[in-house]
Parts: sequence; C-alpha cells; structure tokens
Amino acid sequence: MEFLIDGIYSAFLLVLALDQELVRVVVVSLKVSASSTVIAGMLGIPFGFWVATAEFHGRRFLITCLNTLMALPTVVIGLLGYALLSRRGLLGAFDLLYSQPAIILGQIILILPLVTSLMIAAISRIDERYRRTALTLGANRRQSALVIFKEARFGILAAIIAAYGRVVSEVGISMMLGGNIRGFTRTMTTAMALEYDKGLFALAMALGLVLVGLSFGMNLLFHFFQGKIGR
Amino acid sequence: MLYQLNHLQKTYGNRTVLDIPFLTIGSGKIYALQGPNGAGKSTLLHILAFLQRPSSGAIQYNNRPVPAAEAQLNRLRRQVVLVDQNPIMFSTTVYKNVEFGLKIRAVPRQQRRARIEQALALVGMEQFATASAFKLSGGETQRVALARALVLDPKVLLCDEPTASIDTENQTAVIEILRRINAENNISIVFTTHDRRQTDVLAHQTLSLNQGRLTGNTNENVFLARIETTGETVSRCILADRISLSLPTALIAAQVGSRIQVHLDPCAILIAARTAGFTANNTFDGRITRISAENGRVRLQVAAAVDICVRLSMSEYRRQKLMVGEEVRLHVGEDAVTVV
Amino acid sequence: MRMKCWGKQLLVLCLVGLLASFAQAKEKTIKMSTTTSTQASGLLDVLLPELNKQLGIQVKVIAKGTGAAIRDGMDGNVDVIFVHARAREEQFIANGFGTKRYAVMHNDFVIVGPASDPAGVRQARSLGQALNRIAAGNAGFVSRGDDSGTHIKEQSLWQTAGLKLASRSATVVKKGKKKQVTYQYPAQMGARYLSIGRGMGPALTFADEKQAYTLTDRGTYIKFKLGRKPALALDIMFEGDPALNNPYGVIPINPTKHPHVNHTAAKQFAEWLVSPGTQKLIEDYKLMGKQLFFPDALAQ
Repeated sequence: MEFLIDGIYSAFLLVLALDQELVRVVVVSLKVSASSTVIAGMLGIPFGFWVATAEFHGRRFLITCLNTLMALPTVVIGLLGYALLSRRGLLGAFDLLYSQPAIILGQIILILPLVTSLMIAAISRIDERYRRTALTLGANRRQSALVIFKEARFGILAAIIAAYGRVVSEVGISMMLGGNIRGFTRTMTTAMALEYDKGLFALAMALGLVLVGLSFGMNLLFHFFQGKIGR
Repeated sequence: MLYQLNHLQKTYGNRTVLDIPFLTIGSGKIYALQGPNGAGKSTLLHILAFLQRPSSGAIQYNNRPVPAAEAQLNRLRRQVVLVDQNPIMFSTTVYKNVEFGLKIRAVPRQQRRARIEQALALVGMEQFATASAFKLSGGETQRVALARALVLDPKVLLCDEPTASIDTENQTAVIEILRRINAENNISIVFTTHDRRQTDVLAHQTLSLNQGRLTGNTNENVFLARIETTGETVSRCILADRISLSLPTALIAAQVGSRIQVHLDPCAILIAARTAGFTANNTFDGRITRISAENGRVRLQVAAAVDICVRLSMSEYRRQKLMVGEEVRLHVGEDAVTVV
Repeated sequence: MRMKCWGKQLLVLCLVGLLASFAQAKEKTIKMSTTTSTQASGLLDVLLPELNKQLGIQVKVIAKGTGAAIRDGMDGNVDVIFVHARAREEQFIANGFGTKRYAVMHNDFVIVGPASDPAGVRQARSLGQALNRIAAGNAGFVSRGDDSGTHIKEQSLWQTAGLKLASRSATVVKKGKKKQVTYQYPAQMGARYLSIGRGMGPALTFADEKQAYTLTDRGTYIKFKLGRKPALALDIMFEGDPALNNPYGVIPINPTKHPHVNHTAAKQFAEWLVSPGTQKLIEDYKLMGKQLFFPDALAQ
C-alpha cells in the first residue's frame, strides 16, 4: 500500500511541477491524437451519414464489417502498419516509420470504424419525420441532409469524443509505428510503458494520473452530450 | 384540375396499400379524406405531397404529369406543403421553425420577419415566437406546424389528421384557420380524418378510402364514350352507348371511333323541372331516384339514360323544391365535361 | 454560411501547421536502433546532447529488444544500430548490412539472487561452479526468454557450463509483437527454470518476488537496487568473469544495401563514440555513484 501511495505522491509532485519531460510527452500525445481524431472525423462522418441514409444491397453486411473492425486490437493494426511502412514494405519509400505521421495513420485506421459506426447510430436515431418535414417545406437533398446533421449534432459530437478517448489511450500503435522516440514520438502511453520497463514508477504514475484525468474528463463530456441526445 | 390520378397503385412487397382507378381533385376547395386506420389515407397524402412515388399509374398536377427527377419534384414541393399528424419541430425556437422554409427559399430577412409574424398571428401563437419549440403542447405544436406551412404561401395544404392530437378548444381554432385560409387565400386543402363530423363542417367534398380503395361516390359521373364525329370546334361522342354528348374538340385528342373516358362535374350540371326550357344540345331527361345532404350541399341521383349525379347548394335546392321521383331535365354544359 | 467558411479556413491552417511541424533538418538527423537496456541505462541521455553540441547531429533513438533492433537495421528502417550481441553483429556485417563494427564499450552481467543464497552461489570460485550450483540447488532461476542480448548471453553460459540441457519453445509477446523463442535450460532444473519472455526490469521484479536467481546487466541491477523504494531484495552473487562481459558495438548501415540511409552522419556518430573525449565520458558515467560502462576504444 505504501508503494502505491508513495508512487501517487511523487506523481502529483511531477504533475504540479510541470516536469518538462512530462509536459513534452503530454503535448505529443494530444497533438497526435487530435490529428488522427480530426482526420478520422472528416472521413468517417460523411461516410457514416451516407451509410445511414442510403439504401443499397449489402448495407447490413457493411455495418457488420464495421462492427467487426471496431474490435481490431491495436497490436494487429500496429503490426500491419509496421509491415506497410517498414523500408521493405509497400509504403517504405515514404520514410514514414517511427514518426508522428505513422502513428496518426495507424490511429486513423483504428478509429475510423468506430467513428463510422457511431455516426450511423446517431443518424439512424434521428426521427424520419425530420427529413420528411424538411422536404415538404421545400428543402432539397443537401438542405435536408443539413437538417439531419443539426438534429444529430450531439450524437456526432459524442462519437468524436469517444474516438478521441480511444486513441489517446492506446499503446500498440504508438509503440510499434512511433518507436517511442524521446521528444518526437513518445506519447503518454508509450512513456508509461517505458518507465514501467525501467522500473521507475513515479513518472509512469504521473502520466497515468494525467491519462486518467483526461479520460475522466472525456467521459464526462461524452455523457453530457449523450444525455442531450434523448431530449 | 389540381390533381388527377389514373390507375394509381402503391404496393409494399405484395401488399397493395392504394388502388385508385380514377380520382380528380379540384383547386380552391377543401377535401376531406376519410376512412378507418390503415385505409391508406396518409400514403395518399404523401403521394399528393410528392414525398412518395406511386408504384404504378399516373398522377397529374395542374394538368401536367408529375416529373420523376428530384430537382423538378423539389419545385413542386414548394407549392404543396404537408403537415404531419404529429408534426415534429426542429430543435430550436418557434420563430426559427417557422423561418425554415423561408430561409430555404432565400427570402430576405426583412420579408421573413414580416411573414413569420403574420403567420404566427394567423394561428394565434405570436406570444411563443422565442419559445423552445420542443416544449409546446400538442395543440400548440399543431398550430406552429400550420404556421410553418402557411408562411410559405402554398397553393395546396395537405393536413394529416389536423385535429387528432389536440383538445377540443384548439380543434375549433384549427378548423377555423383552415376555413379562413381557403376562403380568403383560395388555398386548396386536403385533410384526412376519421371523424365524420369534421368532414361535414369543413369540407366541400368528402372522399372515402377503405383498404386502399375509394368507396362511395367518387367514381360518380365517369363514363366511357365513343367518339362519333369531330368538327372544328365541336365534336360528338356517344356516352355509354346511350346518350349523345357534344363537347369542345379541344378536349379530345383522339380519332373518330376511339373510346375515351368522360367525367361530368356534378356541381356544374343544370337541373330543372321537366317543363323548364333548356337548349336542345346536351339536354337529357330523367327521374330523381335519390336525394341526400352531404357537406352542406344536396346530392341528387338522377336516372336518365345513364345514372347521373347532380349537386346543388342548399339554397338552390330549396328554391327548386325538387322531390324524389320527380321528372327533371338536365343540361350538361361544355364546361361540365372533362376528358380523363 | 459565414461561420462554415471561417471554420474551414481554420482547419486548413491547422493542417498546414501540422504538416510543417513534421518537417525537420534531415542532413544532421539519424535514426538509431538500440536496446531497451541501453536506453534505460541513461548513458545516451548524457552522450547524445554532447554529440548534438559538438557535431550538431541529432539522434532519434528507437529502443527495442536486440533482435528487433538488428532487424530494423537489416530492413533499413534506421541509419545505425547500437547493440550488444557480438555474434549477431559479426553476422550482420558479414551479410553486408553494416559497414564496420566500432567497439565502443562493455558493461557486464552479474548473477544475482536472494540474500539467503540457498544454492550457495556466493561461495563459487568460478563461473562454471556458480552455474552448476544454481542448477543443482533448490531455488529457481528466472530467464528473460525473449531473444534479447541478455537472454542470448544467458543461453551461451549454460552451454559452457557442461550441464545436460533440455530444450523448450514458447511464443513470446513483447511490446505487442509475437515471436517464437526456442531456449535451452539445465534439464535437472525442470520447473525451477522460469522463462518469462519479458524485459530486464520485469525479470528482476519477478525474481525478487520468487526469491530466485537471475542473470542481469549491472546497470539495471543498480537501478533497481539503489534507485527504488523498496529496494530490490536481491544481492550480487557472482561477478567478474570475462565471459560475463557484454561488449557494445555501433554499426552504421551499409549505404550500398540501403541507399537512403544517412551514412555520412552515421559514420560521424560512430567515430565520435570511439574518440578519446567520448570514451572518457563513457568511463566517467556513473549510475547511482557506480561506474557502469568500461570503454573499449581507449589506447591501452
């Protein structure tokens, strides 16, 4: 017990002192995760909207595929990414391995199915009457799509926040595609893994505190917006 | 003719929801579409609102076939507005809800304000302009939905059960609003209901729908005719192989000997006691077999060479003092004839 | 409508800024593959800033297990490797992946165990004796079992100890990557030989909990013994035999095999490591007050 308390105490001191190493690592984490969330959002939101509203053969199959992809472990994506980005891989010439773009790429693959699925759920939840009402009031396809977007705004936001939470707390992709390079690709999670390996728990705990705090904040936001959906 | 439906069918899978061989809806009138639940009333309304396409058959709006392309349908939808049975409000204020259609049509801000205030006043909801539309009661929602539709100056207003979810006090208010806009602005209205009393109070004509089919009187006065002669301005046809009818050549687009479907407007047929003098053209003798009161008017069924239905206003009927079994003379003016 | 345009502009600006942040000075930057224990020793945290100050070269360090580090070198994912697995390094050069091996330094391995020393290893007068006593005794032995430098060294020690060996194979998942590892162990130890497929830190912790013996590099041991609360409950049982030396070599990747590598800077880096000034830095480096590394390129 003393071990845990000591650890948390030292961790708090590090956080309060804004230890440079800590800050740098947090910044890298936030930057990389924010980038991948934004890009995955830009891809997943329109795609999810289309799947939710279009009618085509194999729509259910596509949704099943997406749900399966959501359960893909980060290590699998990391492995596949490594195979692709390594110099010997297909995309080797781009020299992407062990860089932030590599992590971002891997993380986008991770959360794209998640964002799409949540988007589909958010849009499907929207009452069919909205579309009908917009149309009868004279809206064209694009304008009625905007109406649905507006009505689903909380659900969409919740999807983005969930995706961000998922991506800021993953290790496999950051480690395998980023290389945990100090100052460049060392994220909160890879730093924690390293410190644990080194046997130095203070920094690991401090990072853990930040991560938990961040996750907690994210979840609060998520539930806040989720709550607003069922108005 | 506002709407004309020919052999219109709507099927879902192998279930036929609507089966209407022929229906016309005139402009400037109020129609009640009555029938039990599941009769297909809402579906028909949606088709009239161009929100759904029929599975087969043809529909004409303003004497032109309804196009299939989305862009053109959009244009038509801007003239015809549907108000749902339980209208859904956008999650914003009442004002913004009513503003929606105007914004879509790029109406400038000043005009929008004036029209919105006018529409809200019409439905008696001016006080609620800044209220959150979600928090309204059933009756208030219905009225805002009406304002939202009326602010757009539609030619046609379609209402699905306009008084179903509201209390009696508000019901009267809504009915009064509908009557006013039809009388003052000449907006054609079609509303569905399963309350028979409403149909009498408000509608000019009632259409009865049951299991997708029109029952009652809507096929009245439709006859098969064979074209006998064609002239420059006037042609002759034989109605149901019994009566000779002359009609403007402009109406016919067919050859001698071919068959057409002809509809005689019951409100436009002149009726008088046998002794009255009518021009010889298009005049038929018959006997009144049935008289009934409907929608504030009087419907007379006359057995001439064919069964013809005539509708008179209450006052006209009282003036003529017509009775069952009386021998009468009918005159079908050229304005009463339509080719289907 | 206006809000949307403004938002779009902001987004584009952010993306451009993001892309710009990824651009770096490429000529003076090299990627180096090394082992986790090297990184954990803290030596690089002293050397690399000095390198940057003197030569302006920036080194990006990617720390993995020895096998993975060498693999990255073979694949051309890095410009230089810095590992401690002599045989493999020679093979690496023989296969043309590296240009030249520069002998930089060595640290050593020590055998640690519980203070009670149930197998009597402290009394052993030679390395062979120490190993035999562990095999014959009652206590367990924890092996890293992860194909790392330490693990390979440990395996080679058993082979020279003259004991009857058995063989076992296991799938090891380290840092998310799966590997098949085949290892040997003294047959008479049976279940007392614990191959855990983990890093040095976890291995020490494990040995601590099981009160077993293990082979560790001096650096990690010092860290765990002197740098943690509560301190590791293991003591050094045997040290000093030259067979326990762990030599480090730095090898620039062969530009013939991988034309894209920054061979110039990599070579500069390697030569700097074996230069007298740096060798002195390495000698002076102390972990918790104890010398950790012994320079190999000082003129004797």
